[in-house]
Amino acid sequence: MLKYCTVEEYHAATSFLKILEEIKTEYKEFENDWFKIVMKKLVDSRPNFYNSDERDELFMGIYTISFDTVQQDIQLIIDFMDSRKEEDLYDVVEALNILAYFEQYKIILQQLKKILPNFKRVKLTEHFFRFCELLENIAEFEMHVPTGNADKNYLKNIIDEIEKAKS
Amino acid sequence: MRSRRRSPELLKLQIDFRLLLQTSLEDFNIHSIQKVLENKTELIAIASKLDEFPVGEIDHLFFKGLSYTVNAFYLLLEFYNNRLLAINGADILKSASEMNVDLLSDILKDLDKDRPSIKGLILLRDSLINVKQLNDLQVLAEEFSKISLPMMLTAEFNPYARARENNDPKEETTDGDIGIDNTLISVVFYMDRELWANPQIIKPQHLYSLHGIVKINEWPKGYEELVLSQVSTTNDEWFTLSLPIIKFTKDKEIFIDGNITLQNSQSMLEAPIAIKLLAQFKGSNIKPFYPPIIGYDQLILRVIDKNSFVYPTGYNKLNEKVLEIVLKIQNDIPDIPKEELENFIVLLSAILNYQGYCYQQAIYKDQSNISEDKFRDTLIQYLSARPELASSLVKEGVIAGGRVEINYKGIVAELKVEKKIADRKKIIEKYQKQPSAYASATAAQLSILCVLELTPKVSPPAIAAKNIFFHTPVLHGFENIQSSSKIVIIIIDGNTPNPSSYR
Repeated sequence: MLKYCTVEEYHAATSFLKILEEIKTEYKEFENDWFKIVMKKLVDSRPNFYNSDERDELFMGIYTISFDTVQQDIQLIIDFMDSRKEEDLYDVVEALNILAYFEQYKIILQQLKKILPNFKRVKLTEHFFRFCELLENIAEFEMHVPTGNADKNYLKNIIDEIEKAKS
Repeated sequence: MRSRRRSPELLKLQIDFRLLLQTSLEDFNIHSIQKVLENKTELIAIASKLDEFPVGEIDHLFFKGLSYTVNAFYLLLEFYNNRLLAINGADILKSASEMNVDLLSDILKDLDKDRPSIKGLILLRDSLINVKQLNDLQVLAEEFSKISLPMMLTAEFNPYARARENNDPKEETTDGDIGIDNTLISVVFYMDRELWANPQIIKPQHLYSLHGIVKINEWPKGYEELVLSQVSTTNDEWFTLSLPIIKFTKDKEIFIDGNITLQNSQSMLEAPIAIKLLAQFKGSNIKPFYPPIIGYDQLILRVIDKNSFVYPTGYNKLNEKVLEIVLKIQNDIPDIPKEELENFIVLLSAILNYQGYCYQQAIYKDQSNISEDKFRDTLIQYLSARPELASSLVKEGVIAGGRVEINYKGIVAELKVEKKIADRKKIIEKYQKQPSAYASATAAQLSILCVLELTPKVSPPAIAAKNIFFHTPVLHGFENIQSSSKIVIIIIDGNTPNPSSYR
């Protein structure tokens, strides 16, 4: 089954991956395999704005797997982000969304520090940078919550930004 | 297929919730429960908004759990506060808190217990159960304040869910943003039964009928009508586009009729006018929505009449031919210098005027032996009568080592007299190279070849307009490539007999 998910014939691989996705909802032991195959598919492909359905579904699927699976293979998401080029902002945002969903705030801060210097801050990427700043504020706050030293100013910054964007 | 999309509203709610919760818990003190309770209503309201927010099933459970936690915590605070203040009926608050804890426990069963946030909520739930005295509240608040929460920047949605719904505008919503993402309009218009394809040439002050088919994949909920208006590259007062408003219908395909009139004609050298359709869904108490349009939604047209010909040929059919040639040139050589094109039109129009004159007056009737010199001198004499040409015409200038019959501001017109070949294709093949060579030497892309054809005529000649040919010459080194040089070949039928002599 796993072999067929990675065969070169596109349609066969896609069909088998869909079957594996269904199987993994019942049999959690297949989650890791599914996650690895999906992340490889995402690394090997690029955002396609004309037909993003297939990749959207793969990203969507990641939200349904367990925290444990993501945590165990978090390096796959890190590698995916590291493999993205300057024009693949969409993928970077998707990966950051997933990290925030799975409460991986330390990784978020670490990745932002690593990847942001690879992107130029120009008018076209301004939204991306603002998104990263927002996420940085969230991560800084949430990471310090368990220690009892969370600084609320991070959240206030976000509210200010939201208000600014509205006006 | 399901998908997730960014949700600023969801983010804002989570941040508001986080900030208010953290502020309340950080300042918590059993001596100031009253103060913490001041935030209760607002916090519960935000928690319940999060609970009601349309997200995926698991995310919804999480927010529901969070809402039960907040309820249970504040009900317990209120219980102790009321007891402190000796307010009757406080016990019911404790019971309500316990019920919320039960509901939370029920939900926690279905959530991912490995998540730090869920682990925190499970511990908090246990602490809520174990609160036995006022002092325990301090520990409880501390625990609550140390639970890190996930941040959901995207919300799950099913892009095709709405397609299954019955789109009844009576089920109005005041939120224009909900469910309009998938609406797409496709239009196909016919102008006077011709497909609204590009480009069109129309006359000014003439009412053209429009027939269109509008296809809507999905009428957005809450909107009552679809208005098709336009944006254009010209002053909107110069044209009137009239299309009916489409009222809500369940039909996916709508046939509409309208019309268009343009007030003024353009110069032939001006850029065409573009009119693009703009679709707008409207409804009461709802902001307008502009769906994307696909199909033939843009009309590119030229408004041409006799006033458009700055240098008319004097003959309507020949004017049309000039227009046809100019459009072809503009299409094939979009970067042609305007000055070169204008000079070319001046000379072409003047030679066509002579062609028309020859046909009309049978100038070369019964003449089988005219020399090229004679033909050239007569033509130059004729052309010199035109004020726009006279002073700039150069006769027999030397270019590229050869003598050019006529040169007007770099545009070359080569003149030939043909006495043996009548076949137009062969005439073109025989003579087309010479004017192209001269044109290349003057760095011009356009040239003219005018042939006086004097073969004996056994059949009546074709009309003048049919004896004008637009040709792309083959250039050295570019044999397999469509070159950007163009040549117009004008053939004048001479040696014509009396019309009565054709049998």
